[in-house]
Amino acid sequence: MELIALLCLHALALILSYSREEAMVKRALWPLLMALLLDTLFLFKAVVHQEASLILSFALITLVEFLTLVVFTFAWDYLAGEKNRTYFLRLILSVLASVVILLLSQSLITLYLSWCVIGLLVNKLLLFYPERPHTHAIAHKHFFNELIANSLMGVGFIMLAVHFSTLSIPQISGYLSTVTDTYSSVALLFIVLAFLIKTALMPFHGWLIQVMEVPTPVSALMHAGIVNLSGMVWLRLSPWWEHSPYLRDFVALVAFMSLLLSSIVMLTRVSIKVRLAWSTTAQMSFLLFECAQGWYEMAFIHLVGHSLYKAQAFLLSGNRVNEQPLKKQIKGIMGYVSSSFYSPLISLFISFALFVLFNQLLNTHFGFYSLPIDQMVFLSLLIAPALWLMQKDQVLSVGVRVVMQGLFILIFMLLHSLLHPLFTHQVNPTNLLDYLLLALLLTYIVHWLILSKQYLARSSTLNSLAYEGFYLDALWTYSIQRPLSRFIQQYNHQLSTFLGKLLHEAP
Amino acid sequence: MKPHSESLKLTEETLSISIKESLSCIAPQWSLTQQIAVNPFWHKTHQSFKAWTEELYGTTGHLLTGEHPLISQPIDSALLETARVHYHRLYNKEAQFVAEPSPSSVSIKKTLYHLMDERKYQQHHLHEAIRLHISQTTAAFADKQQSQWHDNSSKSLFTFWRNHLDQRWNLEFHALHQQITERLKALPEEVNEVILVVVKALELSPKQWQNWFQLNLFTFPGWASWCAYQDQYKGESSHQLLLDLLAITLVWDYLVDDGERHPQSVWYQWQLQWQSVDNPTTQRYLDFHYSQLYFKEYAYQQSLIRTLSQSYHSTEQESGPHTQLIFCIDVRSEPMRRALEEMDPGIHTIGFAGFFGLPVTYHAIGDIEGINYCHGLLQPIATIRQNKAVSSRAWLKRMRERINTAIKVYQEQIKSHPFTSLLWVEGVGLGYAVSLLANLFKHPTAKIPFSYKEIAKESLLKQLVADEESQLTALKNFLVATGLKVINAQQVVIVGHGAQSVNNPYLHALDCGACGGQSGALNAKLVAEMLNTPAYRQKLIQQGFVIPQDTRFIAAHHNTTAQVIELLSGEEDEAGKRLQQVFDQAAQLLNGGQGIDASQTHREKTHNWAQVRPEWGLINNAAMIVAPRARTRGCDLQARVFLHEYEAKQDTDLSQLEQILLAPMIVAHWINMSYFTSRTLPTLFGSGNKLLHNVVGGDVGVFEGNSGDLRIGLAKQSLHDGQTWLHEAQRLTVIIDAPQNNIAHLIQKHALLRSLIDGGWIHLLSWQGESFYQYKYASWIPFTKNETHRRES
Repeated sequence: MELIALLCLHALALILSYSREEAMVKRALWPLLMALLLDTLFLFKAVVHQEASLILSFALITLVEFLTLVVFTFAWDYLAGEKNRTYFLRLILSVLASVVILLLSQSLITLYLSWCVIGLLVNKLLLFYPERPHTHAIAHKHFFNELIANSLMGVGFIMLAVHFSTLSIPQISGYLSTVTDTYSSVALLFIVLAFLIKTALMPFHGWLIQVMEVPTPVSALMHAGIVNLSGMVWLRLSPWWEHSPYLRDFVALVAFMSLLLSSIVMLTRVSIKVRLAWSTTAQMSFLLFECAQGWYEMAFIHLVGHSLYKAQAFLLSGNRVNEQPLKKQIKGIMGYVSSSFYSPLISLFISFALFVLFNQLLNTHFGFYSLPIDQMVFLSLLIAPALWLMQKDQVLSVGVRVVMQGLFILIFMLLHSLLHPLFTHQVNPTNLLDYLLLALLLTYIVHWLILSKQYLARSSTLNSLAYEGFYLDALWTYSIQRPLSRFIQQYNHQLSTFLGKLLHEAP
Repeated sequence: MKPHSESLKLTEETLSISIKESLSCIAPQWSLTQQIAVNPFWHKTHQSFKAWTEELYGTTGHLLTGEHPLISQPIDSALLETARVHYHRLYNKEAQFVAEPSPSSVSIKKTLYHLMDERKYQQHHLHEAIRLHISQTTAAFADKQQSQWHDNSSKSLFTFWRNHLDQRWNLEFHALHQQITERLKALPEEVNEVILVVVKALELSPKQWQNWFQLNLFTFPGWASWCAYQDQYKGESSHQLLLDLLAITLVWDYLVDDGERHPQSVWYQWQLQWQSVDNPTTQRYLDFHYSQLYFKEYAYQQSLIRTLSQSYHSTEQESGPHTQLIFCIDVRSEPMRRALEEMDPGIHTIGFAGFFGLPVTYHAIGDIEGINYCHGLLQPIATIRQNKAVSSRAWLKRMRERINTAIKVYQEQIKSHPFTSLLWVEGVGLGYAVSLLANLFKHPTAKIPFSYKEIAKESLLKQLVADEESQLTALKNFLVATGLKVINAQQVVIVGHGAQSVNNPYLHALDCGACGGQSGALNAKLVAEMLNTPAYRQKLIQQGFVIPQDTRFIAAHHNTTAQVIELLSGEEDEAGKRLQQVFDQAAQLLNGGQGIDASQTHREKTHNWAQVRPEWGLINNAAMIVAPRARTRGCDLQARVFLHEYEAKQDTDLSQLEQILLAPMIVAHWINMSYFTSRTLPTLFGSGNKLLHNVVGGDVGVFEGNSGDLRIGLAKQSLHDGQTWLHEAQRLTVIIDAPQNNIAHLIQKHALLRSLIDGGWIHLLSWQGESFYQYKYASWIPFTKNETHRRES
């Protein structure tokens, strides 16, 4: 079936990449391209047959294949002259193969093992320049996190397998979608904790932020592909969470806290890549939040959109210097965010009005699914900052921006409505959202104060707190990770050397 | 009482002298948008090159001359002999050509906190944590454009750092936390007093102070250069950021000091580093590497004068040229000039500084600071304010522009705000797939701001804000210096140059340095426009210039990455088309092949987002020739020589030669030393691996990785092709075709020139007829050609 065909092509690509001749290694692109075409074919077939789970799987596989193709081609030129260029290509091809297995796996064992292997390969990627001083500390941090996450996930899977006496994922989904008892809930809790750690939510985000000690394409792949995996697996396993509202609330809360904190820290970063890394943390937090809330089609679009956006942002991060004159020009023409208090209120009101308007339109005229009010308020709070008044704004510029906002919301709603039917396992929303809305409103105001340079934005203490990332990573590293990981550093080293030999790493 | 206060005063005086001397070992570094090459030891040129090499080695353990082996080809013993003889004549010492091993002691010196980390606190990674802290704090202070929430609480870097360390929860330093907090609180407010306290506490002998300060500054050459730039070019007069940075590093030494002073203590090991320098082994080692460097330069000088001598005999008769081309003195112009002259003897080329005499600032709409189109050492004399040409449909055009700007602002806001970006990727994320594909197929999506093509479309003269007098003077100087007081040619083409690359933080380093890291097309277009305007021409003719009625001035742009020239004006008519054809032919000649293949390879370099080596820039630059073009015409100088036009007979008051020695030669020297230090001291003055570059503060500089010191200088990929180093580090050899007395007079007139040339930072040769003489200490030493040495040209 499809999995075998794809795996054959990937194996072919891997074999080519082991060749000693550089020209042959470059030919590994062709099987990759074929695999991409096959994926699009399978996706098309699934769309025609309206098989929701297959559409989901193949869409995600196509995304990852496409990204790997882009990174492969980019890295070919970018790493010209590097002694480990072909080794790098072998690494990313292996990662790709593992991800494909992960996304198409029907058994708990293949899911678990492929995810562990991906973790090991990512660790190898982090050690691409072993002579750089900080690399090893970061790799150890990642290894430590992975170890805990894998153990938790392993325990959770074993519990489920024993409980339902099966290793098959569809069967377990079937059982869990009818009823979930306390025993299963505990197992699911372990699994969900593993997800939180693997997605690098705060406070486990340290290694992801510090991944700049490796070449740009690695950062691109990491931020655009690897961290998304938890979200992808969550969507695949959506029936599992149907009857666990407390679990989903727990994830939603953790993800929401992570979102709020990282959105503030993001504002203080001084270099482009680190700024993008924090943006990834915020995006991943939001992704898991959407998953926990049951906004599956939004999570799906988010996965796809974010991967493509982040890949481009990282790969083109060198262009930041060219953007500088344009940014200066805009700042000169428009000024900073205006400090008039009406600005955030009116933007919120207009955005909410636009949401309600288009929601009504699509619902009554096209029969699309209608968004609940609290979700629309949530989204309005997120999108409203785009309409904040600038110091030198005039009627025309404000008008244009309102029109743009309207267009954007329309596109957003359309995408949402089109993809909604894909996800049949709907979850009943909880009341948590209403409480979180208050926190979101507060953060919204805080952002506005910061960007308009008023009141608490002038506090040096608060700025320092945010600059240090609220000390979450420092706490995790110095209190827990470093003391405990001294015991496992040697295993990290051994595994890494073994993998290096397997992949023909140049010394 | 009196002796105590006197000794205190003496201490303070010695201290301030040591501080001043050590601060001068750091030269400024420009931002990435105005990136120009700098000699990092510019303020140390009052010392001789050799003396500074020795001092640098003694202080930090870094060897300026570099430790590279002799030239790989078999060494001609005859050449070696003549080199030895010449060395003796120049320096009155024996050259050391016998190999010397490096001294057994560990070479790179370490700061006190580094040594403390190695001996006592290694499992806490103290050294890394301190470096990270210094760097992150300076970055937070320096950045004004990347982050959206700045801390503007303090104008002084030292106070900023101190407050930050104070209010911070120092988890990384938990071993020393108590000690750090106490000592930090006890320090005085003012920076100079702080340094006094620290110096007293660390009990180092005053002879070592300068070593200590310089070593500490050289642990952060990147941020130190940024501080120096702010102090010298950007700040108010009260700024002393470099002093603040020095104080910060000194205070860290003080904060971790454990107070022990016995011979097994870290302190003892630390101050012992500077005591083992004056021994004869070290001296011989330094002499050997200096002699190697000298021999490399000597061998090059020999091959250069051989090439030049060949030309002298093959100069053709001077008939009036029909086309004059004015290029920048940049070494990359040389192959293009040679190709054009080969094709047609009626084409003459002239070398002149790339801003063509008109240093200007360009203000795009909304840009308050403006971009300088002139070298960092010069002041602009005029301003160009961007405004759209007035026309009858102006209202509609303005409206369209305002709408465009509003759309751009919306996109900017929605992408950069943490919350809106969450929904942005959901709504428009799929569009990025198209953009990724476009970049993959070498259709870059990144926009070039204010590209020369945009700017050159409009008339620059109409947007110029300057007084007429200064404009006319600039034009007059330009025409006189290029030898165009009397023009016979029908067209004079002014060729500015620039580079083209995608996704490159250092793109401005490849552009014209004389134009402040921008493309010279703007200056070229401006000068051409002025000289075509009848009003200006009339005034010039009245002052004795000869410009025929039908002579046209045309502006062109030399793309050094693709090696093509395109016209910026006058391309519509016959003459323009013929000219463009000539240019295309020359481009094909240079790229040695058919048109189609050449353009493919160009896109690999110019449109490829993953290209880390778009072009080699000024690699292997080695010499500067100040002479009429006729003397170097036809010589294959291998793109290693800066060529400046100079006619001694027309320079009766020596003002032109003086101008050349004080400006273009200094610029060439800076470029030469920048490449030199990036090659020999890559950890200090090279920006490392491009693959790890991370742009800081919008355009302040790059990190190599997450954080750490700001990296300055050329990246390894700019000097290394993956297999070998391609740049030969050697000092600039300047050859001047002028009477010796004139040259000597000018050198003795300016202290700067004396220190540069007598100090051995630049080799100066005079070229009269067929003989060459090297200048040293107000005398001329004949530079004899090595006839017996036959080398393939």
